[in-house]
Amino acid sequence: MPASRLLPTPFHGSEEAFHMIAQGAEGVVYRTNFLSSNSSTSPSNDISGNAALKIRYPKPWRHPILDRRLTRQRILAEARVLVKLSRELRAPGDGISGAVPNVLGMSSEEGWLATEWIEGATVKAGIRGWEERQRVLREKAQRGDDVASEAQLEVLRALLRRIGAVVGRLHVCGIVHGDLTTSNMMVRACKPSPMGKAEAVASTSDDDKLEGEIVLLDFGLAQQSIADEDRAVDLYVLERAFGSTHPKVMEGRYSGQSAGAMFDEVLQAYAVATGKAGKITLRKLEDVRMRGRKKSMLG
Amino acid sequence: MDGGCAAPERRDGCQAFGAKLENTLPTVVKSTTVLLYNHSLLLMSTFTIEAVRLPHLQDHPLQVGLFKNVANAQFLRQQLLEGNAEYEYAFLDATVLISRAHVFAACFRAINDQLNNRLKTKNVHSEIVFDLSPNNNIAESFRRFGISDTTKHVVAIKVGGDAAQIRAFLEKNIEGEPAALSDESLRSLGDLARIRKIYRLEAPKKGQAELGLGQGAESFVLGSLALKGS
Ligand SMILES: Nc1ncnc2c1ncn2[C@@H]1O[C@H](COP(=O)(O)OP(=O)(O)O)[C@@H](O)[C@H]1O
Ligand SMILES: [Mg+2]
Repeated sequence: MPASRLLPTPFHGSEEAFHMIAQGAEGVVYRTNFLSSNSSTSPSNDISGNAALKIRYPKPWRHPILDRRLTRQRILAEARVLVKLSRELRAPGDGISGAVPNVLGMSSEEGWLATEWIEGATVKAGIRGWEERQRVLREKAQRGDDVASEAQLEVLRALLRRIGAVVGRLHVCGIVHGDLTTSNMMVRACKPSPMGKAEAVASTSDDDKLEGEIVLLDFGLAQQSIADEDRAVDLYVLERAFGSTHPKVMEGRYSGQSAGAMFDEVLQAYAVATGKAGKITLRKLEDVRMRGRKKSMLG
Repeated sequence: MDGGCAAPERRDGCQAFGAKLENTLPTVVKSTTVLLYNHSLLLMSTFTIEAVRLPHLQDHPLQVGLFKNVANAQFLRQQLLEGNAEYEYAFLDATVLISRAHVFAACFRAINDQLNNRLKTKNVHSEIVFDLSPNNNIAESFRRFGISDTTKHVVAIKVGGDAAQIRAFLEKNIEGEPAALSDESLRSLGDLARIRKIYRLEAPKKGQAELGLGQGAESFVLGSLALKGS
């Protein structure tokens, strides 16, 4: 059990396996069992666990009292938003699965939050995989340019539309995320069937992996807000994150379109999901972009 | 337990990716044959008390059982009121419990709060009852989730202790039909109207079909229990 010494009660001394999934500036995410031991195992790596356990460790450079308070607040804020959304952020057709992981347990005092494990990949990994497949295809065909087939592009566009739609629904729920990056969203390894029940995707092509439902993660910076400014900033952060993480996609290198055309898929779906209020947000986004450009010109 | 067999195998079919906890089972700790042979009483019984080890709480095994059509709820409640230490159990009204995950979420929280020395009630068993409630009113939580004189179906939980003794005790002192505690049994006993009222869940509109609580409801309830008091 790695780093078991550092785990807070009751995880300290636990006999369960902890698989470190991510280590960020704010905390560590482990995959482990929670409340039940009957969990699926990832086919790719044999790692199992039905929960994601996020632990925020004390930061030695911060004053201990301030540190405790900040840790408490961040965990609590995230849990509160997730619980609210577990009920409200559900599309009419959603069966067993929601667009955020369910909260299974939390202790803000000890600084941990356990949520349902989402089987699937981050959007970042999903798009990187797509790009890798385009590279392989291009090499096989000995093509000079990057342009992907219309079918391949549609897979990507559909993914972007689902992202736009879920961000729109999030905003309609009165929440802004605060850190919309492609690592903070996942594509469930599950396709909702017409009956509203999720079906396991056993053996599907890699492109199918981009077809699952979008699940939003990491609400540590989320806020309750219906301000156009906050919503527009959320979209701007997402646009910038896409641009820096997946530059070739966003520059239109695969589609032969102009830069911005791909992100427009996100914005159009966002507009559909948000209606009238969304139009104002999208106008505000222009202002926010402008300010962003000025800022970056000033250095 | 029929004829000294280990806990019944009740794993629900195969799990879809992303399937919910609702259908999953904690490790079922098989009771040792040695224990059973030492207690001839148990050999004859058809008991379904289950030993449950919650992940991360391996030092705090639970004994859990469901009893239907309990005839002596009033007596059991009286023992709790009198603080009879022998009866230090969490006795829950099964009709307000949604699923095994619901029950175990409260158990996990109660044990964790005990380990961190911050119980709000007398002991870990009363804390389980309290932790099921969405608010901080202790008396109300006991009224809603604990045993009353008229409670018909009871879930009994003991944290720690000697498994064989607990089994024998429950068999002797609860006058009811022991049944397996499963998501299905809880679903069939559940009083949806009361559960919805307690947790402020949406009810089907007039003319709409009753489709049960749905997944969103359980997610919201588990989340609310985790958030309570903070
Ligand atoms: N519920 C979950 N199911 C599956 N993976 C998760 C889950 N929560 C987090 N992860 C993984 O852990 C990573 C980090 O989690 P996140 O909540 O973003 O924490 P951080 O604050 O460290 O960024 C995510 O990018 C994702 O890969
Ligand atoms: Mg993150």
